[in-house]
Amino acid sequence: MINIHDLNLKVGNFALKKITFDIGENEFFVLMGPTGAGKTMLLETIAGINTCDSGKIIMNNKEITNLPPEKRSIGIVYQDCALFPHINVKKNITYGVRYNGINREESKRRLALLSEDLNLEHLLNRLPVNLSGGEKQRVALARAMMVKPELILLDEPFSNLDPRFRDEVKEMIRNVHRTTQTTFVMVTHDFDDARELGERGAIIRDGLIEQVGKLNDIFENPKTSFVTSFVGF
Amino acid sequence: MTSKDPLFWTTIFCGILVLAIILFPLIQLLTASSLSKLMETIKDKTVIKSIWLSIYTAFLAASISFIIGTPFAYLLARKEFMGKHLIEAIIDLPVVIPHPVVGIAILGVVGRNHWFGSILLELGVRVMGSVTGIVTVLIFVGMPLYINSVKDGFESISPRLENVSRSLGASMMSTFFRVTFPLAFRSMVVGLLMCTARAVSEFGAVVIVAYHPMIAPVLIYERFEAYGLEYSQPVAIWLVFFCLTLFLILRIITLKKKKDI
Repeated sequence: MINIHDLNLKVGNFALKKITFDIGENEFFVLMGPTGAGKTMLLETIAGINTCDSGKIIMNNKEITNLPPEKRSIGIVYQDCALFPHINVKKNITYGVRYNGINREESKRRLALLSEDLNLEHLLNRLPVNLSGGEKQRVALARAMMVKPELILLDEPFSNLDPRFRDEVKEMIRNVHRTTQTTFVMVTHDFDDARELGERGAIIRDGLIEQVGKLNDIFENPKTSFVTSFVGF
Repeated sequence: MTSKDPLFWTTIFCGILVLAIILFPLIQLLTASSLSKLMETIKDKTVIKSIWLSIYTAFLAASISFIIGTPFAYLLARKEFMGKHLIEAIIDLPVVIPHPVVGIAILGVVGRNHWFGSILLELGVRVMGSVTGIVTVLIFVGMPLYINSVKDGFESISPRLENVSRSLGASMMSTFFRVTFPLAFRSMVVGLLMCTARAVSEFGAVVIVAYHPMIAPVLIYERFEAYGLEYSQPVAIWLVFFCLTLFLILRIITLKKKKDI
């Protein structure tokens, strides 16, 4: 689905170095690492927000390395949700409709479906400021899903959530992944979240990928001393 | 902080002092002229013309600052580049240099002895002693206030909102107009008000570049010089009255709209 090959990017004193890994079709891939390891920077580079210095990103056999974010069909959901504060929930969710050739009928159909799946019907006319953390996260996910991207990037989606909303949002992400068969990449600190949702993953440290593979392999057969200490052995 | 705290009384005393410094001369000014004198002054076409010219040129300067200052403020807020601090210092320059120096500097460039001034003259653009000259000066002194205000506004908007917008398919331009612009609207209004206010009150630079046509501050100065305080006060009162009314209306309309969003 997506192949990242020898990707390098230097911003200030920090650099992503020789990032190489593949993510399969419909996969739920988890990116783990300590704070400041470059996880969000890598997500933003995949999304096209940062332009890499060298290397290649290929998605569905098409090179997207130099494409701007709006041409990549990659959705991004940040940990702070980044909802547009000046427009209501409905307008947030349908924001991308006009850029993706979605007609009015189809937009209404998708909005109704997502609102039902993510339990947003009663929130559509509210402004983001009047939403709880869990509600914001659901709206951000609905907004990304509305335009049916080929890949969704989740940047620590549970880190700002009250514990009582974590399971609820987790369950919804799992359902969305299962029903839409979209490929997901999620950044997380939490190994439980990673194991519950993910199939494969990677550990990143100081801009370098330490290990890529099935999560069970990473947790049970860590290949470097850093991964060993990071996953808690 | 309670009333027993010496700091409390210090803050109260300083507050009263500040208000007195601002209000005492203003109240004196506003109450100095009789109603009949004020009515007589407002019927004077020269007065009306100069107040109108002050307001009109100030708004023109603010509009031009808005058009060319907004994209520049966005660049300064979003990009890091070599020499950025130097550019920011240059933008602040018109605020710190004495106003007559601004006038002299502009005259030096647009005068017929300078190559730029001669090109302008050949093109039929007269800066000295013209509305163009007044607007040029007002842009020079007012634009830094606008740019700094809008830059702060842009900086307060998370770049993540723009990233998300682009990931949803919007181009940079579309993102700017659908996300960044509405969110920075309030700071733009504040910047425009500050720029206009600065422009309406400008005297030192305008008097050098364009004594005529006469803006209100120049007319007030001329009447003060020629006839004394009594003749300049009513014009000053009308200028304060028109500007205050205009700014109040603008603030109510524009900032209320923002609340409605």
